[in-house]
Amino acid sequence: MALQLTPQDVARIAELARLDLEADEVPALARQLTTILEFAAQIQTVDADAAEPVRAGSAAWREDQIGPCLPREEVLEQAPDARKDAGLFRVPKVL
Amino acid sequence: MEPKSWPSADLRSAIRRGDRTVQSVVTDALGRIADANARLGAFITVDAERALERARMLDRSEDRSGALFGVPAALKDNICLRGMQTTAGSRILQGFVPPYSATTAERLEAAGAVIVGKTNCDEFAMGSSTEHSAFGPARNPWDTTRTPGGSSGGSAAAVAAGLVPLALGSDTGGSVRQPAALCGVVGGKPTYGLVSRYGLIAFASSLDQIGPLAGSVGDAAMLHDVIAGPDARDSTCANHSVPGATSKLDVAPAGLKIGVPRHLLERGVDAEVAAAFDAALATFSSIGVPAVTVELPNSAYAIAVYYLVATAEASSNLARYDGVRYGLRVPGSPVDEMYSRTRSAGFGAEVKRRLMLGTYALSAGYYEAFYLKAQKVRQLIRRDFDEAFAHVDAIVLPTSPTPAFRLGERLDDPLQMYLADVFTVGASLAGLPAVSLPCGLTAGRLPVGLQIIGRAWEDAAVYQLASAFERARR
Repeated sequence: MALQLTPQDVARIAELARLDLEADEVPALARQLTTILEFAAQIQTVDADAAEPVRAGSAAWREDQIGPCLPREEVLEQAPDARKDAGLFRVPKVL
Repeated sequence: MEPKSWPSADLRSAIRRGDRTVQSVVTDALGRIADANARLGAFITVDAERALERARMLDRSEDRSGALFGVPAALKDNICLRGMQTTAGSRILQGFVPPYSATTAERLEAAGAVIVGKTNCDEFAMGSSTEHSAFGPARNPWDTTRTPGGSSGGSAAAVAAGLVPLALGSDTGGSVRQPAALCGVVGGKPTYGLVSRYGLIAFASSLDQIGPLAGSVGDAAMLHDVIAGPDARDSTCANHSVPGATSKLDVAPAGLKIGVPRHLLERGVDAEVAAAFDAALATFSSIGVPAVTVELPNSAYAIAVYYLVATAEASSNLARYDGVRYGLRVPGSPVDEMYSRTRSAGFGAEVKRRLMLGTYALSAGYYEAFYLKAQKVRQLIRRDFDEAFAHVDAIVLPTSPTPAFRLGERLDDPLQMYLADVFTVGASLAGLPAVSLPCGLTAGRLPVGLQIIGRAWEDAAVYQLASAFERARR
């Protein structure tokens, strides 16, 4: 698999990852990511069709019971912006 | 003068007998940290007031039976302790004071330990040198121009320099074992699922494990037993118990067999590391533990698999750092702009690189070729280990292909840095228990570490072999 990440690829991935990149960061990042992905692409040569993908842990079920939680006030103490009286985090407009 | 770690056994008996007060021991630890921290950068946060208050409380206590009663300990700064700033080595969590403690931190305190501070680490545990911390690097006590390894470099340096007897780190691809090796101390990664991840700031959820760092096998095993065990708050934590890491420390290992994957050692291993490793095999042979050659054919792909799986899981785990509920918020409107400005200002270069890699590996059009394929090859890597364990009880390797490298040496070439993990990622991908212990020094007086990898749930056997080796070398 020939991989050469273009600045557009980098911009698209950055957007998905919610990262703003400076214009001067892009070329170096494109080079580094290309090098790493080319290295990683060696797994394409492995015949792994017979293998099941690893799924970590097992699905452990429990009863849907309400238990102790963190006190809302304490959690909101950490918030950059909050309406503590209403028990809400406050953020800029969503739409 | 070469660094010396601080053994806990005499300390614990002195405290129990009343020959030393907890306050005097904690004051001692705080003094050692104050003297060394500017030089070593081992700690991000030290809370002397809290530690001394706890020490006073313990001195008043009648019940002094806790396994770690009065012992000063440190936590890697990605393990939450209620009321103490936690940064994960990042600017994005600035100001964050956890409203809860990790299960492992609770267990340390329940055993009577005094947590004196939080140690330096690569940001979000992403690194092998502790140079990617937002708070400056940690340095190797054996040579402060060199890294202590990473990402648990602060914990390893603190233990190696005798600042505290015990510390916890986290290990995703080698981040407890490799710094332990580079700093000449003992570091372990439990079987995946043996130690609760509740309260560990997640990097890669199918790989992360919290592990002990200490100056001796006995101390590391004791610390492992304090933190291990079922926890309903972590659904990946097994709810069955297994024999403790301390259960076979004094049992002679004769009859056990170790395997060496020689094909992985053909290139890229420093000559002095190779020599120390061969000497270690000779030691095992002399105590009745012969080595045979084993094959782990798919381990050649372990780094590639690791850097696809771990970064993919990280891209998901780090999505929560968005400026909404805690830590840094950079204003922006609409909210999407706040997210990206916050993340761009708050994350360092290495984290951004890995997030981009992981996002790419999971993105439409690439998910099957990268992430899914990596998880299949991971299955093959696991099977190789299972097949080898039909013939041997443990697999041994050098922990790191080189001794401690110089600060700045690998920063320009991220891939070079990733290759430092070549011997440690296999056990992570397969979920196996693994311990690194000192097995020699280079001519330049830099530590070399030996890694012992065991079957899943057989942490006791790994520590048994480690203990026997340590005794033979005394």
